[in-house]
Amino acid sequence: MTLGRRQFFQLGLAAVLRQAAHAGPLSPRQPHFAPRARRVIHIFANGGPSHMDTFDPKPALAKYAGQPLPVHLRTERRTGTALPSPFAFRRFGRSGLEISEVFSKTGAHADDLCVIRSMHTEVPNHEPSLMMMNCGAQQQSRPSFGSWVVYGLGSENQNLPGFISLCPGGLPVRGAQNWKSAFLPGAYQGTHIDTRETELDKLVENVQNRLTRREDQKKQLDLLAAMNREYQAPRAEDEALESRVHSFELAFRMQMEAEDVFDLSKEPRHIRDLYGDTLHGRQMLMARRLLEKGVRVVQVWHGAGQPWDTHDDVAKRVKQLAFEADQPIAALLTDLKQRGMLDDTLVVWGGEFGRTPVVELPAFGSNAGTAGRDHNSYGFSVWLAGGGSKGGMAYGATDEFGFRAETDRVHVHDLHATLLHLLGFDHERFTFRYAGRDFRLTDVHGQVVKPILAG
Amino acid sequence: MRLLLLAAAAVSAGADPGLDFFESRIRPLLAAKCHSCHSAKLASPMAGLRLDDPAAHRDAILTRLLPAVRYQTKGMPPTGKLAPEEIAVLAKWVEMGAPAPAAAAPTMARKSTGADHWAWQPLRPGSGSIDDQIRARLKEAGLAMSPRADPRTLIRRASFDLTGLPPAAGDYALDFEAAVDRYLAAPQFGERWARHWMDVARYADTGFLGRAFLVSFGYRDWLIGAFNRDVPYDRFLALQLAADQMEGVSKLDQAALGFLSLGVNPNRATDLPDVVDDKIDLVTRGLLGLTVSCARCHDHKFDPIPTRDYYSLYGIFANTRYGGEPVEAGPLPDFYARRAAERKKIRQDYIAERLQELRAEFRDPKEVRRYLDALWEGRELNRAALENLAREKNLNSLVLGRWAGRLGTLKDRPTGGQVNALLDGPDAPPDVPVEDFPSIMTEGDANTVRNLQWQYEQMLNDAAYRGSRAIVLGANDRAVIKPAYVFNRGNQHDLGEQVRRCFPSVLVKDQCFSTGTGRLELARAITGDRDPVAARVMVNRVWQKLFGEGLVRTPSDFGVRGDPPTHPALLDSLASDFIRDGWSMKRLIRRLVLSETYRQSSASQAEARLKDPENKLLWHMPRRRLDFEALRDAMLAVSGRLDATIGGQPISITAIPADPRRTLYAMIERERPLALLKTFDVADPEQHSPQRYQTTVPQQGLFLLNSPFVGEMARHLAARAGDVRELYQLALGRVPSASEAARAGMFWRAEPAAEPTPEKSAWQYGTARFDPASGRVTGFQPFRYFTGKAWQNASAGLDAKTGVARITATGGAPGDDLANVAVRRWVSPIDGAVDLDGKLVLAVGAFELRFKLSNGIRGWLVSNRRGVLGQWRVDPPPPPKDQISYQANPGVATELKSVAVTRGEILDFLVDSDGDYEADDFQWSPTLTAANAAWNAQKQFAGPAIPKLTPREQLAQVLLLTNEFAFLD
Repeated sequence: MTLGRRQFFQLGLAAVLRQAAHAGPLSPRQPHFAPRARRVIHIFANGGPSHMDTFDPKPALAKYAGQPLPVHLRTERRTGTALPSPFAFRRFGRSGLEISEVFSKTGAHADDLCVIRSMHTEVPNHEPSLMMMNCGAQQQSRPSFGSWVVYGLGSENQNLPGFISLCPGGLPVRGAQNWKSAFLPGAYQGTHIDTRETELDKLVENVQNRLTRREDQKKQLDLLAAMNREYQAPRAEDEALESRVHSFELAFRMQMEAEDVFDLSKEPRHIRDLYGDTLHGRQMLMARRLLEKGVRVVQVWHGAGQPWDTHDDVAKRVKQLAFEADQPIAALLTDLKQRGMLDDTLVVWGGEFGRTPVVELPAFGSNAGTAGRDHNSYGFSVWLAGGGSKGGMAYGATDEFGFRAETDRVHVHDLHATLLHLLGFDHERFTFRYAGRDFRLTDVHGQVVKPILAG
Repeated sequence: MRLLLLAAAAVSAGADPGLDFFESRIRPLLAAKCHSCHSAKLASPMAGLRLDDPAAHRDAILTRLLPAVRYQTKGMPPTGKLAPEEIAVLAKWVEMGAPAPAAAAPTMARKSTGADHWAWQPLRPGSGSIDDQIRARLKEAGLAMSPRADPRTLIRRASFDLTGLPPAAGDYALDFEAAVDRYLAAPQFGERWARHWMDVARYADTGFLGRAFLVSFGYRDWLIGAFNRDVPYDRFLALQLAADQMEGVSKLDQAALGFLSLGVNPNRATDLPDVVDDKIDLVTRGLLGLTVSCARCHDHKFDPIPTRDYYSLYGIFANTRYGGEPVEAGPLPDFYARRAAERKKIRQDYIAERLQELRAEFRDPKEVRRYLDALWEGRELNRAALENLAREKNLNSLVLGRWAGRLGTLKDRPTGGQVNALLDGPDAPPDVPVEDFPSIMTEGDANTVRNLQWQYEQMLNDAAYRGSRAIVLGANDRAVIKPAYVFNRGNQHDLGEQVRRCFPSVLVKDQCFSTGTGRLELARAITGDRDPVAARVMVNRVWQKLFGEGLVRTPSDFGVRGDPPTHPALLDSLASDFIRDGWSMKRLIRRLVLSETYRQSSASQAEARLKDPENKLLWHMPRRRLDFEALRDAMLAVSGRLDATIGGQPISITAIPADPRRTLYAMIERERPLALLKTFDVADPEQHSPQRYQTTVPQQGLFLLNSPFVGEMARHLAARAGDVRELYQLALGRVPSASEAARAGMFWRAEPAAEPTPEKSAWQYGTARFDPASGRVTGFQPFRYFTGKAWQNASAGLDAKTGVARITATGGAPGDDLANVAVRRWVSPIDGAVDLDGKLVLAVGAFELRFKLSNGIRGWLVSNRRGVLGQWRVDPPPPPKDQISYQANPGVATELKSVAVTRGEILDFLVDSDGDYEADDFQWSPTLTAANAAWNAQKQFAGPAIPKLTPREQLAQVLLLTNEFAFLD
């Protein structure tokens, strides 16, 4: 039985099981309508990057420096007076998009960036907000965005996982929850790669063969194939047998593919220089190689824990974090463009929420009292580039101080609806039946933000 | 008002101009342009909007229809914009208020009332045996059963199905029935079927933030015992839901409550609805085949389950405490009992201290004014609205409620005298009682209290992981049973009507509970004689495990959108026999396995395949792939490695060498799922799992081809076999054919390639006894397992003797005492002198320091020839003021210059706990520098060397990888 594409997205477990038995769970599939983006890279500035220090200029804060703001929303921790950004904003590109000096290399791509300055989410706590941004639900166990996309589109490369999360030095807060497949099959789960590791088999589990030489393994596989053929002869009709045979061939090829894709020395010198020989530069280059090889969704996390959680010393820490990220991001955009990949690669940058325009007051176990900012779920920024997003624009706005999204508010659900739209899905029809319900990434919410779609 | 009007309109349709307009102009338009996506024609209409029932969707129509058809929002219909006059007609209709008749009978019937749905009917058993009923359906379809499979196949099938293991060589000689009885009586039966139930029960050993549940495995081991003892299913359920409320139940049996307690356990008081949802979903989908969770926010769209029913169950599970006070089933060893008590007191003291501070804050005159201002502003608001106001104004809603309660309805602003009298009187509003501390604590308090609770539980777990069976994780009722309300649209701050605690009304009407939370009554109702659905659900689960698919192919959804049973009468026969047999699971399983249906061959038949490709009528036995547990266990078994010990603390299945215990003992981490388990589709522990996926992905192949585990099994298997024939016997339970033997012989006879001998490392890792007086280290034992990060003696958890002792690249943890110190050993490859560098740091965080959980550690450098060369003590530093980070701990430099060494001399870097092993993690990765060489403990830290497989071992590996090994005919 073969399923039409609409039915595929509306049936549940049984259908997926049957489909998986036929063509493999990662076989490429078509979405609802012609997509603008064929792959996604999500650069996750985890910890909650400060929007008024990066992509959302708030000159009014200077007027109130050290004074209480006329607007003061409830914050998670105790907060005080206005804290103006220590950084200057400049206009970039023909669009004149205003971006902080700490992201000036990224700023050079302003005409490709679509900055959404009116993002908002539910609560100012990392754990639920990470879940909201990644899985569209704060508490309950739901599949991650990447898992949904790979479930919907499959992958272009059967020799690599369809969804890969790069994170150097360990795991972000909530770990593998951020890329879980939940009730979708495990094949759609994100694969974590610790990009601080350099040995191949620490990058992908069991990908390096220490048991046998490659030529011996080839002989083993020949024998295995012969035995499986004999076993299959009287059982010819059983596709599950066939597909298991096939999976060994894929695994064998994956060893070589992985060896190749993670070997950055295969890139020419000028490309490696473009990204920079830093942890973040190498990780971003690895991400581009994965995308180029057909991996559907790549997440690039800034680091283990929550590096962008700047409760302290914004002037120093935001500068440092942006310094680490700026050149690799700019290099990625340059590189995707020169390869003609930016048109159908959706680049997403952002965190789980933003930060307060007011200073966080000193408290035991929270901060050292050196001019930092608290969490802010009322307003923050993310930006998109490529993949059918409209470049050179800022969409929506926070209030005068950056406390709360005011104009053209975009909830995380709306962002998800829009990303799925660019990938060719009507988020309301992109469902999976489980436990008696048709689940969606956007649950019962989400509106596609039409004005940010390229014409 | 509108509803009344509509009702009137419905009966007088035709006389109403609005309805006339609808029927003449609107309905045809909607039918032509919209119904293909927005009607009951679709199982799930797009956006949930049904334009064939506009009355029920009036709100959406009034707000969303016009912008959509005008292409301002959605762009509807997507096939092309309507003509301007059509849009005008719709606009007029919307302006009229979208009049439409209440849906006509045929469309209403889509939502079942339950009266006619098969699952909620009394049992109607079919006549005849299982085989009679299967044959009858096959005959109707012009098909017949397949012949019996050969005896060898049957034995293998039954062995895996009943015990999860391959048959022993001698089993093939047994008569089938004798073999089945042997397997049913084997302790491995309980292990296999407990794991099936663990899928239902979303079992995990660790929960929120990766912290271990209290004695999680007590529940798993209880399940194994219960299946082996054949505890009747009705009692099996009752114990899991309400052992604490049952008479004559042993304390050990309280472990059954792990079913409820090993669930979702987030942190905040506001997470209670999710904790409760986890139980409701578990009980309704897991035991009743009902998808009640759909009714959390609105009435179920398809099944007759109103939100009221959801909140009826909510009342039961919100008033239960999950793993509150641990049950003491026996005496806890003194040490742990004392430590646990100490930690409990730390927690109580912290709460008492913070309570005083918070009360003082609420008494601050400025704060009091803020509360009074808010009360005045909200004097006309009801309770829920007042809660919203509290959130808006950043006030504590409990304290605001206490003020409101004492001041009553305000006509005027309260006077200073009134307020002072309240503040000076008993139970003043700011003086929140201790039991309400969770409602006023800050985020920081919540974290601290949770951590202190974990510290307490960890002492109990330490005892349990070392073998004590004194502590059991239970559950019990709250002291005060609070009433339950419907949460409007699932919002816990928006309370609707109060509801009683009752059984889902779709199954049994008006069966409500009054004893405590009513959990025991619920359990009795589930298996009571008023409703047979629980029996149907369970026999279907058992059927599914034995036949690959259930008679109902959606095992946890027996609602109107689930699959109907392929053999309804058979399902009812099995359910009724199950009940009549006293709910014996073993008898049920035995009956199924001894049927001719089960004994059919799995061979395909071209004609049957054409007529019934999904084998719904069971014209043959489906071929099944071993699940991950059976696959790994089978490898352990055939290679002679399997450790048959039943129960106990969880293990790691990725440690090297392989932990030889069965796979069901693998540590299951809810929030940190092992990639390997995910890769092989082991049930996701986040929620109840109706059935397993079966995907085929190359990562499975990578594990089988390259993992140290499979390599190790291949090595052992090859070593067991004297020749190719024996190798086949061991691995596949049969002799090779002549051509197979010839092919295999090429591997068997091939010479192993010469391997370069790996360079011997200067480092070793283990535990030893240390006597400071004599300066002697004795009884060095290398650690057994390498976890990828650490060398230690248990593959996961704690070793009974050496406790937490381990060595990592950068540090480790000491054992309990001087008889079990953790040792990083360096054996000198040179004669000469070395300089020693390094720093010994106590690697504990601000939390441990603040609550003084560590007494510090001691480091020693001991030579086997010269005795103690250096010794250092690290005391816990004062808690840091700012970040929670142990890197800030200063530690002590461990530097020695020009230490003379001779070849073969042993230098041991020891760390001991100084009498108290808690919170003693350390960092110490020394370097040794000689004139021409250097040794760096961190850089040279490594796991065991993995030698290449010989050709014989390669052959053994291939046999383990074959489809013949992985599939059950």
